[in-house]
Amino acid sequence: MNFTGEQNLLRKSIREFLEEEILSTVEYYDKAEQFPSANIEKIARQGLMGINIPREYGGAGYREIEYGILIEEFGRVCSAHGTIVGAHLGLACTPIWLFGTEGQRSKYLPSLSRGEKLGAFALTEPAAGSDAANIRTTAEKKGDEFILNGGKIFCTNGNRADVIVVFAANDRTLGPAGGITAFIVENGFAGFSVGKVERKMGIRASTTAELIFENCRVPKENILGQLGAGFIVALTTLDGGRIGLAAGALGAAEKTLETMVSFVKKQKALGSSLADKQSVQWMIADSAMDVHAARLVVDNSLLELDEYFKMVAKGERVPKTFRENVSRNSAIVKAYVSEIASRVIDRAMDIHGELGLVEGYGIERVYRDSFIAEIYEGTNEIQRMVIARDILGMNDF
Amino acid sequence: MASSEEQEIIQSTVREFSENELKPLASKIDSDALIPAELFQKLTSIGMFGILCSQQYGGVGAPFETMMEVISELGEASASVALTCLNHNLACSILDEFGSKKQKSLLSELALGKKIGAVASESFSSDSKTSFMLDNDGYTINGIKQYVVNGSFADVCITECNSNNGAELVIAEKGMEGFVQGKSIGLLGVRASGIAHVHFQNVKAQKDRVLGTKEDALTILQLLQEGIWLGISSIALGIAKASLDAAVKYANQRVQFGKPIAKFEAIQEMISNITNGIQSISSLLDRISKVKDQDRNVWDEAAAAKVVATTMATKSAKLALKIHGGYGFIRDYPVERFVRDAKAIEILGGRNSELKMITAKKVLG
Repeated sequence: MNFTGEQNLLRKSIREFLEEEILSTVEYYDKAEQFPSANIEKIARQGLMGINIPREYGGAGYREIEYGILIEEFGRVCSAHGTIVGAHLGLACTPIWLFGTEGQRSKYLPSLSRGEKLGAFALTEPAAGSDAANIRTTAEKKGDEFILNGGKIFCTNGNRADVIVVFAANDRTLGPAGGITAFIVENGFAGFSVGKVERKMGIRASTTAELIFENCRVPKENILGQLGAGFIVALTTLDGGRIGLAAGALGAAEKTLETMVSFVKKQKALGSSLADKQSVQWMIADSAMDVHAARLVVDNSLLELDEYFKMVAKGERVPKTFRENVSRNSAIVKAYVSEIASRVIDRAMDIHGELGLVEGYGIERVYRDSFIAEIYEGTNEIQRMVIARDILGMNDF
Repeated sequence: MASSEEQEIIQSTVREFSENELKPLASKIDSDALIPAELFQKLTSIGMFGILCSQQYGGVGAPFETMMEVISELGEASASVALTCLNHNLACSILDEFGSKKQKSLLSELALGKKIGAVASESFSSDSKTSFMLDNDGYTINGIKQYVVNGSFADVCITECNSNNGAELVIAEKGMEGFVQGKSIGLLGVRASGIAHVHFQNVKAQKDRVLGTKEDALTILQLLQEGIWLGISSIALGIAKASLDAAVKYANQRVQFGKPIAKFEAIQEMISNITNGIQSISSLLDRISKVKDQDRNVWDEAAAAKVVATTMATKSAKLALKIHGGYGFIRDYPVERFVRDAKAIEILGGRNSELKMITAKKVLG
């Protein structure tokens, strides 16, 4: 894809900022398993916490291509930071922008876009992982409020977020079509609390938390989208989220390839025969093929997403075939690029040998981080299920 | 040599110990990157520091086959503990086979875990370089051995030293002047095995510290490599078995879309792949260890075994992680540790890419 001059400039300035201000701290936050508050403040000051939100709502006024550029650049530096920002932007700000009423947009987006507040997205439950429609958290209407009861798990930013897009069943008998509603929940709402914060294999600077709703009172004006239409909100949001995720994985893969190449060149300069080994050359060639292909599919998906979200935000009717196309391609690009990234990172580990295993050198962290992209926002096994059913014409939803 | 009855007893003892005592501690051992002192005592009490060492020095005197089974059992619970025991036992067996009477006196403490052994060979890490010079009353050793298992805490270190005249093995000991053991390095996997750089700064070694004759040196090095490769293969088998165990338990218990995920064909295929890998590696190791116990050279087979076993372990652990979905990424579950440990032993002890060349040379002539 040909990026515009402005997009290239944006990428350059994001890269410079991340390399100068963030890169040197990421090993620290990973090891300490600490949320990088100071970094998030810096990122917010750069205006990046609302990159794809219109200026009138406090954002930077860019769109999905630029969102992709941002997340890709984060992927080069630290997937944990990318996850925090990706969840905030792609999974909280975006659905509020796409599905919010004017009141909701102007109430929530400005502080989120300026990074004064952090966003999160809560869909997964103990019994509703891959089977996302099977959520048990209930929303019962009581006067002008909905009373939420239940719990969410694995919520990125969950213990740090001020504003959370929460999915609950308004009518369990209806299932995903009509029975699930999205709500905007503030962390100060009565009956909301944070449970367990998980210790993870990777992306350790980002937090993953359990959320508890005990008679949590949510005003009815905080329904996001229509009552009972929450599953569409979730799926549409995740269509974008997955493409962002793929962009992050692409960034990690591309950076890792560069690291691998500079390591081999450096070893060559020191007199090592590493660069002459065909096994090493082929690992580099294979990684270059992978990264090249990943770049093409990510850029292509971002273009599609841009068009799709533009229509959704305007409230236009999206042709069914186009929506299904974006959705399937989003599943494809997520699974494909996350696996590419894992392969490239695995090769980098092999080329670096023991040094790759050492904490603090970088490869070890990237290796641990790489596994999550194959899991979150729908495991790659679920993506395969979705892709196959769509292609075979077996989708029932 | 231990009788076959004794061998069976030790195996079942270790199996029980691994399941009941080691497994519950494994996660903590990994995150603390430390094998607790009490555990060393328990390992001693079941003979884990004298598996190969002859009985006259307090060892078990088990054949190599038994050691591989035992190491695999330990590895099923904790790869770190297994790797530490493996390196220690190899150091002991070399001392036992090639040591002088005086050198062998170390064995009585080693076999009881009062001292811990290590092996520092160049072939285990491509970046290790140690030079050594002969002078009138002995040797002067200079250099650094990288990523030595047990390196941070070992009391006795069988060290490969190279000069223009080829390699020799020197017994270095804690407390020798200029013998500096680095701190345990933070690693992706096998984090508690005390893997460290060991420095030799003008270390003076009397001639009586040299192990065996000059002719023995090559044999010893081959035996050490062979032993490490087979031992690591056994640990890999243990990790794969543990991965299968965790994956099966999870797949049967996790319900999605109204049924246990074990009912899905894609999950069944993964389980089947792990199982097939375990079975083929298991019979491969079984065969090689039996040949080795007939005192035959299995050097190139051991190299091949290390490649296929560790690759299989990493694949199995990754599949187990996939089956666990999001839970696989959470440290309350053991599978993420299995992945990290498996990847680490793919690289440690001789890189797979180099070991593959041994096989190629053998086949291509």
